[in-house]
Amino acid sequence: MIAFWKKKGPQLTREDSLGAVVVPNRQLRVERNAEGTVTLYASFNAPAFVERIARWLGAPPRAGEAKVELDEVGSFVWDLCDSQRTVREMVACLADKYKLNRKEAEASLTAFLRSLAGRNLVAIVILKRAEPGDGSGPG
Amino acid sequence: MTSDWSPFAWQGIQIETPRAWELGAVTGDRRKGYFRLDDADMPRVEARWESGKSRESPSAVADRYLKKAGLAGAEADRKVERDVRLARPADVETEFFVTLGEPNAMHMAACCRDCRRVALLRVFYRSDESLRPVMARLFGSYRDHARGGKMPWSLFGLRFAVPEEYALLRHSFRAGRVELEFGGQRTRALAARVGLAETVLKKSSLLDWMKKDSAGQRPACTLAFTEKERGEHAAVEVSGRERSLARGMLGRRRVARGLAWRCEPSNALYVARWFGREKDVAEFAAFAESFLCHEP
Repeated sequence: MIAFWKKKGPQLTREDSLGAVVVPNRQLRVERNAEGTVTLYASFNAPAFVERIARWLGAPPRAGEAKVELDEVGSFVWDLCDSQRTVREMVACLADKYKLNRKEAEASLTAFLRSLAGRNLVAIVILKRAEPGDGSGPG
Repeated sequence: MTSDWSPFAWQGIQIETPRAWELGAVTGDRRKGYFRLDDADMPRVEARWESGKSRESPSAVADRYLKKAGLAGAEADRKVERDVRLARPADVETEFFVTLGEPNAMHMAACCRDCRRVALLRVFYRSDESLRPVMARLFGSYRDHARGGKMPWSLFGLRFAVPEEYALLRHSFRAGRVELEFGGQRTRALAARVGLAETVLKKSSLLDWMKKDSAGQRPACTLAFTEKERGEHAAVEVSGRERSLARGMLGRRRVARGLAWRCEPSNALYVARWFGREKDVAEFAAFAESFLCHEP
């Protein structure tokens, strides 16, 4: 029912998505093992009702750290998330490094980025396109 | 060294395209169908085909298309250029025409002299682009139907040939795995390409991977796996026999054959599987041999 009232986000085109940049969550702790693969640690607080019950029971506040272990390819993509490269450039890098077809790389990368964004590990920033005559274009 | 061009072949229609143009949509079968290839920005080439019952001239195909697209009469004078001259492919009657708009499109109406199939290919281009050399090569490379009884297939780095009578039963294009399954009169064949071979085989051997990949195969077979080589590539060969008791009692148990290999230059695993009668097993050898996993 809640979804019924949920405000719809703006419709994104493929062009918008490929032109977006990926900004990693700065509050994450990032560790790299000897093989070069990345593990992400995100601290979290328990939901408010759990906190209330814990307080009522006299238990200490429930906070913890979620751990996400990336594999080799995931770690490579994580390193590409530098707030500068567009998704389109990341697709090209991934396809080049692992000899993937462009479509294959695009599908895998977008699914992976969606899953990272869903866990609040990254933010995907859609860059505003310069409208003709709005003065925001280059030059 | 890899070329900037790659072959694309689907349901007997064969063209060469720039490597960056990849399959974006496909429907239909050998009799009637459609495919479209896109580059990173826009659709680039599309083809529609139909098996003609009677002989139809390319001009008639062009007329039919333009009428359907509402580009006949006075409108056509403004927006259509007929009888454009471009390199003609062999064994095919053709007519080239351009429709202007954004994007513009160069069309080739083609009627195969041998199989009578009619196809309409369109290459899209923006007004600020000059794609004439690309179009000349692409249209010039057009071929229709099987040659020497072998039907070539080529897409997403998967390139092989099957006997002409094999029909495509199923296709699946998932990220990391491209798979086509064919059926002949009494046979089944499957061709697959799995990307990221280096990553896939980091924690298991090719033999273990193939065993896992073969599990759950239908109909159920008793399989034996042997490590061998396919050219310069490490490979695993599979051979087995159908488990069906009923078929066994009738002496009609079919056999399963398979070959998987790892191609380092393309960082991919290739799989050829075949299932059919023992006396037809030579078909599997030819099928597995036909794969071209990387450019020499």
